Amino acid sequence: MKKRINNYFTHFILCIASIFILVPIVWMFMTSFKYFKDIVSAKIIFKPTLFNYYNLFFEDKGFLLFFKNSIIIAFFSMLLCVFIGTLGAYGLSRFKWSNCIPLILLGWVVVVQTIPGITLVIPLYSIGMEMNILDTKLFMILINTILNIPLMLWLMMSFFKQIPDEIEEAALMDGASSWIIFVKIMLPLTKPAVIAGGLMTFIFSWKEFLMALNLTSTLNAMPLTVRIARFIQSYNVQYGNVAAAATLGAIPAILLAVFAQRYITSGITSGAVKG
Amino acid sequence: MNHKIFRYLNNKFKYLTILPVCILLIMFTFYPLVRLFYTSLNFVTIEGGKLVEKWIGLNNYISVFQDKIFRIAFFHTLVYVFTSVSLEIIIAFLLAMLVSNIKKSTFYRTIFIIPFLIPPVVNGTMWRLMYNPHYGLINMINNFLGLPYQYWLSNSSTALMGIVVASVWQWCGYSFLLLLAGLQSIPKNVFEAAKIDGANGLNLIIRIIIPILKPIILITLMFRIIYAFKAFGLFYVLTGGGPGYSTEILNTYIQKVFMTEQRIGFGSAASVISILIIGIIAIGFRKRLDLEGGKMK
Repeated sequence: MKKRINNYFTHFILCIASIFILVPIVWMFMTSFKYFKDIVSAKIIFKPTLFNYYNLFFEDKGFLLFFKNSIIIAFFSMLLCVFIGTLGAYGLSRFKWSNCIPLILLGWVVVVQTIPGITLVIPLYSIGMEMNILDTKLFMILINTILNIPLMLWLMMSFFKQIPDEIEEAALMDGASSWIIFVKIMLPLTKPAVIAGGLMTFIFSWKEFLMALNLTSTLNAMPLTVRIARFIQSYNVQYGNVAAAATLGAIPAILLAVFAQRYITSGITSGAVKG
Repeated sequence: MNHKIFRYLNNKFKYLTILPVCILLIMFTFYPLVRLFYTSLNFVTIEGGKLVEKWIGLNNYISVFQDKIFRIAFFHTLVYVFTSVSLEIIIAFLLAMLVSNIKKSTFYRTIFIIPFLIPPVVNGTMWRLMYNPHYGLINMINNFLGLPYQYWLSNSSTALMGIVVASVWQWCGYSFLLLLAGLQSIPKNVFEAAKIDGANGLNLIIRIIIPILKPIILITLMFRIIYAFKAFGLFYVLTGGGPGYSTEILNTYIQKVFMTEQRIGFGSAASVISILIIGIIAIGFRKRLDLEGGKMK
């Protein structure tokens, strides 16, 4: 009996915490379906409208392009990151290194993880200018890849280390080449980690803001996050439109949390907890 | 180990696997940081789309240390990091304790991880809608309770705390996940043994759980402090450093110096200093973690 009451109490507290988390999201969601008059009167009950979304997609010509930029940048940096990250993690964790290359490389990865992004903005701006790739999607894809590579490396290394050596030995006996072993044997064995890492690099590139704000300036490469920030900082803020744009920006995150919660959890924790 | 496997372990393929990572890291992190250090020793102007550098030695550093706003921004950064991370860890720890006690926790986990997957810019937008003095939800509740309207973000005494709340909201789920994973890795019989010995409630938490979890708590703290030092989007969208300089942190200040005022040499010197500050903190944590015997990545 006492245990049961305890259980109800736990659920009660957790429900309150969940409500605190959901309220700002729901409030934004509601605002995105309101006419301006309903926003001003701050009504809870109102007649929903798609007016704001209509405005975004049909009145604001550039909006679809920002959306597209975000998707392209996130998607390709995910691909690149998964490819480079798994390959690197495989090499670092499954081979004998008699020199100090892995130590230096991983040490540097920790440095990259630690330094604030703003410190890289200034030199990256000049490098982008000199290489003539400033304000291109390619530059943003490369930068997002770099920002997410540490996560991918740690995650994949912790998974590769769990695979017994015998598997590679058996494949070698059968005469498989290094590439075949990597693609046909090691990758399928670590599929959950590859999925987790891929999803996380996608969402982290999707939510990246600092680099995009400073290194893009036109529709050419500017992603949704920068557009939303510009929206809300204009003098005559149209809260309905801002809320609609922000809701669209939040949707991938919510979908991921609902449908891939297990992968995200393993992605976040496996590196840190298992070491 | 037979001959063939020995050759496999030493072949050239292993160098090929890390080549792409190395190239990217050198091009877009190592070289930029070397350059950052170099520009921090120069007076830099932009002329016709090109950077013109003039050697001035440590002068940039001297002006950073004399700069009043830099000191204010540094102070705000520390206040923000300390308050948001400590609040967050406490809340996340309590939530993780509660969730580890119940069987079906998927629903709560799903909800708790949503905030940190949401872009900080969207998070900022949400909280601006919440804090809005005229039609935000918080002032509506204030109104309902008969409290006066508040200009949360445009009042210099509440603005920073307003951001801290939004930041705790955003990052709680992250610390929650790490601490929960730590809690679930404790064998059940530890709790049973403690209960037989008469430990319960607060005693159990302080004497048993926290000591066992110490390494993972330190790791969580370290990651969160490092991430908190990187905060930018939330500040940019919620206040942009204002009103006045009341929510200016190092990152927003460096961004302004660089993009708006175009004092590139000064900005580079400030960047180098902020790297050193966060570096010292991170190294301190690593030392502590090594003492605790915790593994870290």
